[in-house]
Amino acid sequence: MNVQVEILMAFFLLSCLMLAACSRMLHCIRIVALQGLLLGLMPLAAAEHIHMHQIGAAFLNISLKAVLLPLLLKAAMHKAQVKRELEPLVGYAASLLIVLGGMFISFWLGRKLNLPENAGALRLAVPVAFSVVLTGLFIIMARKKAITQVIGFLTFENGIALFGSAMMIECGLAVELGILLDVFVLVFIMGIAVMRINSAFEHIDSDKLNLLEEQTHGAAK
Amino acid sequence: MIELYLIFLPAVFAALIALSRKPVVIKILLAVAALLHLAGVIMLFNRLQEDAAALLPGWLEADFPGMIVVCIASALFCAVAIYTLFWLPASRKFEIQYPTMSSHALCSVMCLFLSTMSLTAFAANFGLLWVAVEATTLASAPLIAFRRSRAALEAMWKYLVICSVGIGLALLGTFMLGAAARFSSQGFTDLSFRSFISIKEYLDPQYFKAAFLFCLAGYGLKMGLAPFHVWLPDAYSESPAPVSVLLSGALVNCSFLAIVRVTAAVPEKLQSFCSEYLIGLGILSLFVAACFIIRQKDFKRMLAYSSVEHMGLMAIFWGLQMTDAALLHMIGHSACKMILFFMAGNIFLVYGTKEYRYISGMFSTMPLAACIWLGGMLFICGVPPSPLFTTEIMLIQKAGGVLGLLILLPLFVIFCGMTRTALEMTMGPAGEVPRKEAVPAGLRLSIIPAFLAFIPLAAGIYLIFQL
Amino acid sequence: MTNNTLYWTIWFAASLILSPLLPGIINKVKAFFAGRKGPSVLQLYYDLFKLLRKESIVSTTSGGVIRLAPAIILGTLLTAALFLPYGAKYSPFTFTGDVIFFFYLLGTSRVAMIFGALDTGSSFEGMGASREAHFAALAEAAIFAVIGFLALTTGHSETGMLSDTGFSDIRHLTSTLLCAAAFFLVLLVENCRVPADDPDTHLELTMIHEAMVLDYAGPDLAGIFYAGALKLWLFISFFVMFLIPAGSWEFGLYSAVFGAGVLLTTVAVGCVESCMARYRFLKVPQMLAGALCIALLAVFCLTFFEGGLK
Repeated sequence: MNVQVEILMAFFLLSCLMLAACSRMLHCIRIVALQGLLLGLMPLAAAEHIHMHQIGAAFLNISLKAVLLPLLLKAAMHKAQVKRELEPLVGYAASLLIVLGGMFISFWLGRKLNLPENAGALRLAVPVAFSVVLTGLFIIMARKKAITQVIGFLTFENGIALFGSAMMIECGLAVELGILLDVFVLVFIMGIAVMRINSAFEHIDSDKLNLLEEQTHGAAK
Repeated sequence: MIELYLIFLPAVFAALIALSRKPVVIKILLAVAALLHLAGVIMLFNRLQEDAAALLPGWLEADFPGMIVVCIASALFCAVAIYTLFWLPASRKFEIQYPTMSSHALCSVMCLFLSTMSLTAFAANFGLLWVAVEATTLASAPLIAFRRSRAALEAMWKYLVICSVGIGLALLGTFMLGAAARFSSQGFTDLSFRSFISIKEYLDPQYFKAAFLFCLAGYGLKMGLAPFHVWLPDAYSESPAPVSVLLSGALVNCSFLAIVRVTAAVPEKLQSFCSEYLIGLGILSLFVAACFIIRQKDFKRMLAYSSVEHMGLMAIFWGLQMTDAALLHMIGHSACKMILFFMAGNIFLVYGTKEYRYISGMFSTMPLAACIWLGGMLFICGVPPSPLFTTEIMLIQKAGGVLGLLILLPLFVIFCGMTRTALEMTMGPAGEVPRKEAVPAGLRLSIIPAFLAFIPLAAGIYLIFQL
Repeated sequence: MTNNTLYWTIWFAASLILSPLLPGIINKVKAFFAGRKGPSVLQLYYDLFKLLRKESIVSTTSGGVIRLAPAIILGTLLTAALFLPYGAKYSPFTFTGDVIFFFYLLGTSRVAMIFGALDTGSSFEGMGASREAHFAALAEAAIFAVIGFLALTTGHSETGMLSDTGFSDIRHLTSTLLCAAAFFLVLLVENCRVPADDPDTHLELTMIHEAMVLDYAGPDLAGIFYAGALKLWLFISFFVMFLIPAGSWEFGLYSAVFGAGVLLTTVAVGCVESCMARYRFLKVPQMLAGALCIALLAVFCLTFFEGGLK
């Protein structure tokens, strides 16, 4: 039983609901930054003995996911002159209920994947990580703008990383760095793509990205 | 040592190309990088026979499937590099509707792409494998948007978002593998293949099932298995010819290799569970490919769906534990698909369209191109003496009654769809050629695939005699 | 009189006396954030004394309900206060299921308030009343989810169960935190605080509570003010009692922790009020839906992972 981990988990769940109900792009970015912070603290909270390399990894994680990526997103947002409102495809109240439904499924799944008795604080790892992953997927699907899809992807990735750190799976510093680097480069490329799409389509609503449907692909010429 | 050389050499050349500004230098550097990489692969083959110890055990190791994958990638890259040298000027001259990426950016990112694919082949650790596969996505995404058209940007965005999410699922699967080890009686040590294979019988079955499904979905998405194939036709059809060759011939093999790695850690009692899923997804891919090929208007998309079909076949091979046949099929598919995508690029260069109904009578306008195009189409459908014919015969023999029928039916539909398209394009009266001045360039560019076509031909004849 | 009853009586009396302090504290916090000195914390006491000395004037168009309303409001709230388990033990008036009675008494006071507002015939007050009814109906769902959570954790349905909840059982930590967050949102909405309503505003189109009390004067208005403060006290003490596992504590420790808890929660409400802007009306139902979702999430978390029913 680990009190700090439980508190972080509760905040993670709250952040998902906040993200579902959030109507401002900047707030969404802040919530994702908050998740990055929680995620960075997670291995420190879960570990029994804190090693030097864990502090280093936490520092890297926080500086990347809670500071650098949100800054990058904000820059992309300003460059592409995105409107601040999100224009959701699914209304906020409905989003909340869907995310809640996702959480229900995650808790149910987490119960099915029952852990051994001595798992202690890890028992919430599966349901909370799945909740965050499902919220991320939902945001990717239910929000119009390309940049919100990036936010959704970051949430999704945070959920996966949460699973890894709460399960205390040591994949080695090289892999951890590799994962962080991949995520950073991905968001960077996505940011550039957002700007290019913005200049080519004069908007960045991803639901207008429908040139390549099976029926209409002839028009792509 | 050679593993590191193969991974870092293209990366170094990528940096050199990015720094150089002269077109001649870029071309020379690209060709040199491709040749040096191929030389390294050949040296590695020699060393593999000696069974030397790995340089970084648990991180980078060269084994047989990995070698096949890196070998295909390297050979393909060599062909692509040479093709690009001639294709780039022609493309700049004739395809002028859209602004494009600069040449040095294209060549540099292509080298990076090769580097990430080599890393995937040699990774001996599930974490590193994930990092490498994600890196291949990142290195290939800018290549898809070589033309800055709306359609290409859209294809790139879809590719980035869908593949990243899919690969994310694979990361979740990787962590679950770790959890499966953590809750086993042996405990979790690290994510290397070796430690997993050594404790595989003790893994927690529930977590392993979840891990396998997540990895299959994630890497299967990257590979193009139905129902996760949605990004694939867009990406293949919008990317320029050299890039679509690399995507369809080399990248999918890397993702398949990742699934191969995961199946190596399957405990004995879950073997049938995992096989069922592989075969099920494979059959679904065959049927999806058949449905979309039969009514396809765009010949590049048709080739993309053909990739879905062959990935499905490879999954079935692996599900039936026909490992050698699967690797053979992989080689055959890469060789045939390479030729076809080169030719598709040439046809697009001359006709400026990807819809086959605007193209007819290629036998009279560009006879060499027509021969290779038709021959390639027949080869990819598994008409003897294609190497794919041999492997598919082996598959049907092993699969038996019902499963065999389920495989043959879509294969037949695909054969009909693809040959019809190829025949309509090549036969008939010579149609309108929009870019008459590009015909000589198109024919010249067809010489490279014409030479390459001898590889599957010879291999196929050899295999039939071996059967 | 047993010791327990004595302690209960002490805190009950304290709640009646101290409740007008809370709005004063909130205003002080807001003034601090704005860099002002602000009115004294005792300001509401002065206001109440001033109003009690004035005469009560009633609009000529009203049908008399407005005369009764303040009495009903105050009466129901005072009755509700009788049921809170002050002093960490059961209240002397407790009976099975009284937590529902407690919230329905609060509901009755709201009904009286709404009827009083409608009785004046003023369109502004009607508007305020309709908004109040709308939000209250939505808040009810979240409140009952919270009650459900409490009943699940303790296995009781008396208000006395509050002394066993909170951080007493470490296994329920995550769900308790979530439930507390949900209840805090409800607290803000029910007491007409920012971000649901702004107690300082006097723009007709944005008011809820303030719009309903425009027509009261003199001692009636004093009653309404006092009732508002008492309601805030009831919610805040419910919140604090929920969080502190006071079951077996000494009276001195209990008094210190409970008092500090009330003070801290009040300051927290003030901080929220200073840092946030009022939501558009469209967003308030979303906020309540959010509170409901959080409370339900706490219930999932409890039933699936934390041992479930007692």
